[in-house]
Amino acid sequence: MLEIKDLSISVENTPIIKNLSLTVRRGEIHAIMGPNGAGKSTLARSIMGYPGYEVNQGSVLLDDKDMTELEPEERATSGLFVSFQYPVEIPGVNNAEFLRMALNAKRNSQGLEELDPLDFDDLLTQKMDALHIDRDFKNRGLNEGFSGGEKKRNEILQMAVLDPKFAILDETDSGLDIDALRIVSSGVNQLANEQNGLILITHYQRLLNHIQPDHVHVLLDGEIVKTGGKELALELEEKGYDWLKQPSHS
Amino acid sequence: MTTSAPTTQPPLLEALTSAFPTEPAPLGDEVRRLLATGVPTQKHEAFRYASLRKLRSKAFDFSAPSGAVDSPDLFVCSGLENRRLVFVDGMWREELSSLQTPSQDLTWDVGPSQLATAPEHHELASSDFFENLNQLGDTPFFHLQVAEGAIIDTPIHLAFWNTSSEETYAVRRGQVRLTVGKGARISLVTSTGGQGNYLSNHHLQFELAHGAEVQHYAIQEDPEESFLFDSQHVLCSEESKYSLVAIGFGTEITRNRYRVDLLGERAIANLRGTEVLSGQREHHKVITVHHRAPHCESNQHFKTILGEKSNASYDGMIVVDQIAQKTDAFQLGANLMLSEEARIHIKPSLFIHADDVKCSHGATIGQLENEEIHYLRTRGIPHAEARRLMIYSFAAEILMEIENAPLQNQFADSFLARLIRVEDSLSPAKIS
Repeated sequence: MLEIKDLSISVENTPIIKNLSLTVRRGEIHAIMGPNGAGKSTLARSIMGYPGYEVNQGSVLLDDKDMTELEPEERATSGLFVSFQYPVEIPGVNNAEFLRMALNAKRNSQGLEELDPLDFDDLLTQKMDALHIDRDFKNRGLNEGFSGGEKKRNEILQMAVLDPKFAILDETDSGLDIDALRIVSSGVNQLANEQNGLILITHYQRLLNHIQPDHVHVLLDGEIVKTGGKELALELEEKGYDWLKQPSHS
Repeated sequence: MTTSAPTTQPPLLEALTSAFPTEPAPLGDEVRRLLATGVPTQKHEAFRYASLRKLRSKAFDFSAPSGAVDSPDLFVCSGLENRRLVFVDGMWREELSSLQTPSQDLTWDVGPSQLATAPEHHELASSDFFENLNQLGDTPFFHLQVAEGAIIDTPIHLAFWNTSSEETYAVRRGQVRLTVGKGARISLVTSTGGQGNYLSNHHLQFELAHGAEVQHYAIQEDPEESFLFDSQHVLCSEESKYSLVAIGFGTEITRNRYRVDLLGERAIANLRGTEVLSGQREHHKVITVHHRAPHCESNQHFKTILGEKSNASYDGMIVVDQIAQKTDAFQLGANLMLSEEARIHIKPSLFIHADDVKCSHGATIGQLENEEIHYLRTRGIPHAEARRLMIYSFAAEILMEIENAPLQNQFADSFLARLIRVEDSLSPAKIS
């Protein structure tokens, strides 16, 4: 279970997330929607301990273990994963080798033996084939020269290899054309199962046509102002966010 | 005429005076010329950034006997074990060399230096103190020749090893002349290293005939306390191509002087390199690429990583003669600072006397980006390793230029091993 409890985050002394609480159980898919500047990405980043973000109060618990004081790599090896809206390009660092390092870091923390390059290659090939990712990705530099869509697919590949307990996908749909959106969504659907939980952060309802959420939350000005089922996404598509800003609806 | 040496003569000149007579000519003339020039100081533009005062606190000896060389820790190129020519203190040592039999394609000879008598010597002579010091007297000389049309793609390894058994710095001088025949191609590794206190003063001269090609991979692994004042002169004839990838780790002072003369049309020179520096190591590049013919191309691309209190400079000059129309010359120095106390100086200079040329230069100085390191950490990579990956990524572009795959791996391994040492030396506070 992933529990965000009374979380308040400020960035450069400006409060961005205010007393936010959210619980995601294994097997659940939650969507967080909201307009620009609502704090969606700040929330996603803060869950991984983004440098410079200050946690003023509250905590993030993963299976009752407090993540708030942990280093980003410790959160990752504990089973958290956040896909980046703008994944970083790291030329010269081989994509496959990087993924092996990342997986072995996790295995080390679990007291498991490291995978050697051959075993890892088998695993990687299997994951890539399942996600319909070109095998050419293996030999490229990490996100080096990748298109926007390729970067997002590479994020999903990382998620597949690392097999996190909870994943937060931060605007994975942004910048994708219709085909790329379908490919990325089908990848996410393959990875979602009863053993993991997922939070989708998105502006638009269109992603939710491909990935069906169990719960939809609306984030406005750092707070969750409304929670509902997937029909809430359709309502937002129709009415926008303004009506939620009225005190009577908050 | 005799010149009386000043009483507070720098130790290097003192050693020079006791090793070489100022009479008779012609050697005496050269000695006197060097004494009159004097050891450069930081007031000399070409030496501005190296801490030459360090030379004043050491003693030097031009004739120190070689130390033991039972098991020199030479750079090992796997697959090239049988292609090594070993030079100890500048002298070719046949018994230590695994490449012992010349072939039709590759021959060599030793003997008195041919550099000073080469016809182009006077026109292209250097005024650099250390280059002239190298040419003084009976410097050990080795001439490697690649026959016309020969193709030598499996690299030949020239391993330079310097020794010294005293606290006094042994001045080790040597010369290698490589002549590459018309249409011939050779791939070459040069490595330098050694034991004890020495000042290395080696000179490489590469002469490429029409259409010849040289791929040169250089690695400097000399001990921290050594001084390196080495030089290299490349002469490119028409349609020849010289490519260098050099990696280095600096020493007390490393100063690499490169001169490239593009003498024939459509000649190409690519100089690339990367250095990673720790402690108070210094690494200085003084490069002159001279376009003396039309339609030539030159590229310089160097990347330097500076830790702790290291000090580096890149003095890169491009000269384009009036005749050298359609020149394409490029120069880029990128620098990654890991410490607030490290120092980098970049001095590009272009002297363009032709009007139809493409010349550009650039320099960047930056630090590691937290955002990028964070990205790696969110995938489970520990902080120190994430930093290393980012630093490696900075240099990788240069290492990737090594076309021979096993060699690329070995250069990369040496680079990474050094990087780990540089990173380990940083205090935790500095990597937060």
